[in-house]
Amino acid sequence: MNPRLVIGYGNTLRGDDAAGPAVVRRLEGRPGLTTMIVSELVPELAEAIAAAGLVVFVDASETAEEVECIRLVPSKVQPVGHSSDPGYLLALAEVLYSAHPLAWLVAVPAREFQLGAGISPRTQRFILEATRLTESLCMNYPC
Amino acid sequence: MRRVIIDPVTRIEGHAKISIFVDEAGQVVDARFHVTEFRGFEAFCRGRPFPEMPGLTARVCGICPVSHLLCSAKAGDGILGVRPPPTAVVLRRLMNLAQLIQSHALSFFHLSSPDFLLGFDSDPASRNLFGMIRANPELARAGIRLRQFGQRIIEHLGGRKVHPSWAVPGGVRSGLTPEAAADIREQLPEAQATTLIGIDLIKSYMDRHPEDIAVFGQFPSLYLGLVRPEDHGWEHHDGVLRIVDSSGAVIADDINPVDYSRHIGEAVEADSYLKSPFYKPLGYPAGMYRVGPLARLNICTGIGTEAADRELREFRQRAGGIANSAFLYHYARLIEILAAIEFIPRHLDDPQLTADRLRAEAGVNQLDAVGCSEAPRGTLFHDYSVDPHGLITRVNLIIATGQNNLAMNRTIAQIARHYIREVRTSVAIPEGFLNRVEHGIRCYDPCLSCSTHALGQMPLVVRFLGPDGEVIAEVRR
Repeated sequence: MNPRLVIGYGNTLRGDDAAGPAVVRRLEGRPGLTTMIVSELVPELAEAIAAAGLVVFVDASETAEEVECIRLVPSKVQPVGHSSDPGYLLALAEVLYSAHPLAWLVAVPAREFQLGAGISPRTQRFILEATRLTESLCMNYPC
Repeated sequence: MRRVIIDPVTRIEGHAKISIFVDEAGQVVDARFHVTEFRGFEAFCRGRPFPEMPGLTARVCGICPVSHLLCSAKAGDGILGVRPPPTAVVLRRLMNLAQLIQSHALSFFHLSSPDFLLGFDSDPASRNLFGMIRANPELARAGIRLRQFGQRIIEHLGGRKVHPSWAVPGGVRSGLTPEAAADIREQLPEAQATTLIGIDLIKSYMDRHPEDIAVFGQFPSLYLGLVRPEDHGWEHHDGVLRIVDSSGAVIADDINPVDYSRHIGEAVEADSYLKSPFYKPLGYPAGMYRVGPLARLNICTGIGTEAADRELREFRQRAGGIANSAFLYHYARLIEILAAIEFIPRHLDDPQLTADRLRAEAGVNQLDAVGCSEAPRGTLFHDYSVDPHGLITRVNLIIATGQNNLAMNRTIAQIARHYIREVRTSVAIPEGFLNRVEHGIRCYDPCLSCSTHALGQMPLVVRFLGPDGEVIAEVRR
């Protein structure tokens, strides 16, 4: 079992939406971390989440002004669409697998979502900070 | 004319809203499923080398990347002017069957079955997967495992669950290991058992609620999809196009998908970015046709596997021949899962599966090519043009959800006419009505992220607009 899981999600073709995957790419290979990069959160991720003691979701945020760290709790509100959200996945992990991992969302400020635009310089700067914060959350969690 | 707007539909992909038009007497006269965002993917692709297209188009949507991947690779085959090695064809077919399983399982067990188990009039706060888990925990878990099974096959083949850049022009990058094949085989019995439970559930529901079949998109239309060339049986990846009408008469047959544009036109409405394809000889909108599981079962002579063919016979018996109700999409989805589960071991037993040759190599031999395959939601076309260097100069994607656009509009109007007798100022919209309209759309399982390349989610908003467009009532959920 890998107790510390980091999930970066977003569409890597859409400018700053790639912030979550960019953070996780910087953390790949760190000892004691399991990393995942996905374009959307889908229900079956609940299984991997249930196997973790700590889960950190990393996502681009259109509303955040600074890098934010948000404690997540399970949410049984079914999200719009085929995709899921972190709270919903935590609820699935709880209901299906009786798992209650500690969970955080690291929100990376993002503004530019044009197709093929690449990550903006502003969000690039926040990615460095978000990477440090995510790593800190993981390292402070006891294995 | 007044409009009732439902914005957006919940539990479908993307951002959309619904307008229901009523006349001065308060009677529903029409409905429109709007799509309000656009991502410009077709323009974005211009100038890219065509071998990049499978990987790029797979990122159109995080929900159905496999469908775009496979269809784009087929278009790439056309540009190269090659036929992929038989092993690559078998492997691609396996992946497409897995995609059908995982997508249909999500549609039925995660999104739609809460309505069947809990009822359209139940509290929306509990009419979801968690409510279903409370009502029938074993079925809920089995449904989730069924989707995982499809995803696991995709992972065995592509190496990654999402956006597997595995299919390439000319073939595939890697084969299937014996261990992976054994793992797939081991899970087939449970997958089939779950599917049969789902089939029992939907048949039992239809027995108790025949009005839903009559109200949810029951109207004549054309049906389009791929069939096997040799016997016009059920097909999901190769084959020829067939179009039948609402009586089952074949009106166009053995169409090479490359020639799709001679038969299919694309209308664009001012209030939606969702293109509305139609059958050209009948014009727009009379040439409305439906695609997807319902269409595939309507156009085929048979499936070619024992259990799925048995269910197909019952499907047709229940429908009285051609199935013209969108509600039967649910039943059709489950039959297709069953078919996929029966076809998978045949592919695993195919001696070609383990051959070494996976990819045909060539340069640019054709400047125009069309890829066509059956995505879970319906027939998918990738139409590319390239310059002599293989750089994309034109892209046209015809997506299943767009092809069902006209039928979705009509389905909403039918539901609204049935459940809203008269719309007046300050009328309260019953929760059950909203649920039914949403479900009418969910019958088609649209993926607007694909069809318009849209992103965005919003809470449910219902607006009544008066004859001059003024909002006279609004409800949010």
